[in-house]
Amino acid sequence: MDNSELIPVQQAPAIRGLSNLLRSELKSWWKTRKWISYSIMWIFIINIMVFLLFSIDVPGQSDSDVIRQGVIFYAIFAFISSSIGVIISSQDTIIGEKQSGTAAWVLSKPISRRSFILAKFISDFLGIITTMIIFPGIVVYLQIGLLHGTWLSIPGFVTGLVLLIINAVFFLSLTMFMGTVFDSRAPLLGISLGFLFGMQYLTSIDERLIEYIPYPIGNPVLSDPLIVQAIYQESLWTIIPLVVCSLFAVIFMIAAVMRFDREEF
Amino acid sequence: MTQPIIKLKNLSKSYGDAVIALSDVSLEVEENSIFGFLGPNGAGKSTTIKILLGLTRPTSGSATIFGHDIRRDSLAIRSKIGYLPQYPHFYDHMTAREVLDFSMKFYFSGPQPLLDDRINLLLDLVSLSNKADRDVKGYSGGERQRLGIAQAMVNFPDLLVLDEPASALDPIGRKDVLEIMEKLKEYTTIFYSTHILDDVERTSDTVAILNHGELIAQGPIETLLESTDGILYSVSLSTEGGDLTPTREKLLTYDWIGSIDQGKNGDWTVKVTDEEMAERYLLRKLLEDEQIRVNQYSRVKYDLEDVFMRVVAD
Repeated sequence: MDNSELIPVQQAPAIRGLSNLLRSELKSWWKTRKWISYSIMWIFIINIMVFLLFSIDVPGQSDSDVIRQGVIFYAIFAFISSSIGVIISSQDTIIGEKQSGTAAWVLSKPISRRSFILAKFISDFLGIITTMIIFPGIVVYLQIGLLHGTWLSIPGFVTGLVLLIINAVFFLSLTMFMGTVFDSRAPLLGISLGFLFGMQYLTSIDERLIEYIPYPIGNPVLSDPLIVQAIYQESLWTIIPLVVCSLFAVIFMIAAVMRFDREEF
Repeated sequence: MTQPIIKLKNLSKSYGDAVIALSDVSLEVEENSIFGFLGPNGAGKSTTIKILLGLTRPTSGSATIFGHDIRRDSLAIRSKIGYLPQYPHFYDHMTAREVLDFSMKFYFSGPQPLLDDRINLLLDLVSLSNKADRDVKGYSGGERQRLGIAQAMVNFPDLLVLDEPASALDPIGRKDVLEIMEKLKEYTTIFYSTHILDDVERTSDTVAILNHGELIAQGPIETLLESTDGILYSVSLSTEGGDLTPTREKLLTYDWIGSIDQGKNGDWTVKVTDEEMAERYLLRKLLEDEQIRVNQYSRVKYDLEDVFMRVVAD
């Protein structure tokens, strides 16, 4: 029993095991029915709602007003539903493995804990943005074009989706960090969903706070949602929420890696 | 002389002030041995194993495996170890073959045909070849355990660490797992925890007994079975006159006989200080008196349960 004919894995210790873990995580998204069921579910949820909103006939409104109104509803609805979707679908990413014992099993192999977290983050990121944002976004774009004969600017629409993705990454990293801190789902869901639904109330403390949270990305505050402004290729009234979201996503991921390094199984 | 593969020195682990999981545990595991780590539930066996694997940090003390420090060189250690958790859980969407492929690729990147050969070999070893392409979520406890052993063997480890490998299994599953362990004995050192005394007695060379986080006995299994009260013989005699006192007094004149205790049923327990003299002469001396009939004569052998119960009760 010897290993002389096999090629040993050569990877830097900090990312040891990353490629294998990532391959496995991606497989769990794309080689199972998960991506199909997620895609169908989110297209159904988002696009049925958008279809209904576009069908409301308001007398006296021009076609472009109707479309803009529909895009605003899409921004609000996609923002809230993708945020909830991210939290719900990634709540188990770390906690589920801690509870089931698979994390301890995998970490007994020669891998770094950083690789474990990164592989989960990358695969969830790709799975979530594709099934919850990109696929429904494409359908919305086609809905507007085919039903109203107005084709929105593709670069503008893509920029709008990028803004949604930045928001999703913020909630994904927050949820993953919470997964490294807690051993049960209840506090994770409480804090993440509490923050999502409590954001608008922060303005009652100090209205300037609204620029430092993701809320304006998908909600009308002082102006249309940033997503809508991006889709119509208008100047964004503020970019601070995007910067803050990106910054906090990085901070949460660093914190998740550090916390997971201290985790005991 | 073989080198110790595992060396623990005053290893302790506590959770806050209230819970002491391990207290000053020191032990050595020699190469190519089967080391049984024995103790009741909650004794600290799994904690020790998790510390060795870098899954938990010790509060104090030190440990080395293959000469590598467990805190600084955990990655190097884990490259040479195979580990079976107490309750093996795998990703449900994987088949057994995929679990082994996934496990193997933490160690080797190819060539794929050789990796596949090894996977087939291991599936054969644990008798799972006919179920290799089924999702593991449908596996029974015994099948999961066998798959657990196979995945622990993918890198042909120098040290196999098994946490309660047979405790959750039915008698047939247990027998299978113990047989696999015996097969693996010639290739690797096995360090395994258990609370099943029969398993240890059947498979281990060396035993350590842990209770309430403290190591209370350790050594080669034969030594442990013999040591506590020295060498004893159980003798049942009868005589027509009914008085065995002269025989007893005569025996006690030999300097290799330490004591003779009489039990409630009249049987004697003879403690000897020289094993060879006892083997050669004890029975002969008893038979010298033709009035005496020897109804029963045997060397007292403890089983591990006696030793375990005694040291744990102490």
